[in-house]
Amino acid sequence: MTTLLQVNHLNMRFGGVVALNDCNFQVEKNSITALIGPNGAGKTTAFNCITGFYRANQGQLHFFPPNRPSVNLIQLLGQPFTWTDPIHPRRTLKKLGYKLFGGPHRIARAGIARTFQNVRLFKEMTVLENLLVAQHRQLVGHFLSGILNAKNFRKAENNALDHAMKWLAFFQLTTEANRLAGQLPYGHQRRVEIARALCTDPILLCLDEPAAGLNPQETKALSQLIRRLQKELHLTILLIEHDIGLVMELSDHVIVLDYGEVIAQGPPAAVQQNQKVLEAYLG
Amino acid sequence: MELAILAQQTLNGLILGATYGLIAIGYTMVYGIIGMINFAHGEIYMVSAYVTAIFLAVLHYFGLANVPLMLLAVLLATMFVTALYGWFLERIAYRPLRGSTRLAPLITAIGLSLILQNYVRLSQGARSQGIPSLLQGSFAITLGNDERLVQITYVQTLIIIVAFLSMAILTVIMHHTSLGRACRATEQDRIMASLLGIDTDRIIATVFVIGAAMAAIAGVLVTLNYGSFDFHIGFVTGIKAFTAAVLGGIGSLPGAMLGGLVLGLSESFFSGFVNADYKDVFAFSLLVLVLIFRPSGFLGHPQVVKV
Repeated sequence: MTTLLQVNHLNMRFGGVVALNDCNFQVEKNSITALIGPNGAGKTTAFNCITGFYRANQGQLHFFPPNRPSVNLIQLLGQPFTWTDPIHPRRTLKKLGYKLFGGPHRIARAGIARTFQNVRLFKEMTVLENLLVAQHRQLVGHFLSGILNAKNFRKAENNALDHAMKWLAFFQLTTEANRLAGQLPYGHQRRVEIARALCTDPILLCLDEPAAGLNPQETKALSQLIRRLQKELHLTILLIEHDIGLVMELSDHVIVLDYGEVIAQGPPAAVQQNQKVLEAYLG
Repeated sequence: MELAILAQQTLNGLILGATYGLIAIGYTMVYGIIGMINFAHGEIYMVSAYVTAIFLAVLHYFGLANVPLMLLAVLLATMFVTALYGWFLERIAYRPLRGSTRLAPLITAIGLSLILQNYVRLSQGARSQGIPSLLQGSFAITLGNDERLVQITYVQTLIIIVAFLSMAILTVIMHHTSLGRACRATEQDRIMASLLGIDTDRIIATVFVIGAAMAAIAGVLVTLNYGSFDFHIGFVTGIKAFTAAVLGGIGSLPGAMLGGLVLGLSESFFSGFVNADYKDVFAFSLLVLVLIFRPSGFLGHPQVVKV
């Protein structure tokens, strides 16, 4: 197995509150890795750092996409200048480049997509438009060719449409394509959000509590879908989940966080027996 | 007789309203995407009038005599230069303030508006400038067996055609292209859009560019129609266009166009039938009334597709 994401000494503070304290873990390629822990353990913060929603205070997030050079995700967001910069002019130039052109969109383009605990769809757009927005960078989004409706533009647009319809079919949402996303039932919205994340062609898919608010049947269907994404499409999946049953059944590797620190990691069966984990959960 | 006046005032109102609508698009799109009133937008319109005159002079110097070709070249060149102004303002003045308090970009916008006015005054002089009229002549339409005519000049015809065409093109861009979808997505949830790989800073810059280009179209058309301008025209026109954007529901693209037309028509009817001196009073009273009875404007309710 090869590592896809290597998290080294990740620190995140909000004022005086330490949300993540020296976190170290890794995500293997083509695995399902679960991040669990009691409320307030820092799971969502870790997620936000990985996906570029926050910029971590310290540490490295090395991402090793296949067939592409590895990147430090924190660098992509643009780091502040420090007093040692004049000694390393090349590094400083790179930093300036990321300051001007970096941002969360660079992380998405590197191949990381996410969903949110509380669904964040574009509610006033149709389901299909939501999926097309996610393919913005693949489209030849050229302004003039858009006006002239040039041939290339048409072709790219049709490809994007096919891609979106493929994912809608995968999630059995084809009939909902032209409804406004905000009008769909909650369970459907969750699936649209995963489909939208998949439309960005990710390598690593991060799911924040995908089963929250779903009934047992829907949860079961969801776990089958996640399994299919890993098996058939060779995606790597990182998920936060409170439903321990789902975690044990689905994941290959479990990371347990408590008070911003990794207290245990390993295969689900081993983690279940871990004394520290039992203490963290039962107090 | 009454009918002829009514028709003539409707026509004048449509022309006025179309230009208000074009400028209002810039206010409403910028508000929709970053929640800020760009008070320097009126000045962008003013700059475009000067750019029009400069390009006309340049083309004349090089001996271009074909009027339609000249108009097209001036329109495109002015749109380009004015769009550069819009892009530049966003890049140097508003982007560094992204993430600060809401008031900071607003005050910056007022400052920019003063800077642009005085920059033009210094470089082009404070006196009113003018261009010769390029398109002379008019259509005359008789209504019934009345000897009074409804007159529509060629320039006015051009204004109506170009204004409505550009509004239609913009609507198509916003609804059927990848750029338009990205704009709407950025407007609804900027962070989510960037997490999906959209460079939201670039989209915001594009919105400023589109707004400035639309103001430039209005600037070219109005300059061709009236022929004279000075460094101060951006203020009143900007305030009127802002009123139009609020009337239509700020943040809503069709609302800005509708608001512009309503404002233009009501101003024109008021000055035709009641009193021409008080038309501004009437326009702003209309705004007050709309804000009292329908604070979100005509199309400003949440279901509307806003940009």
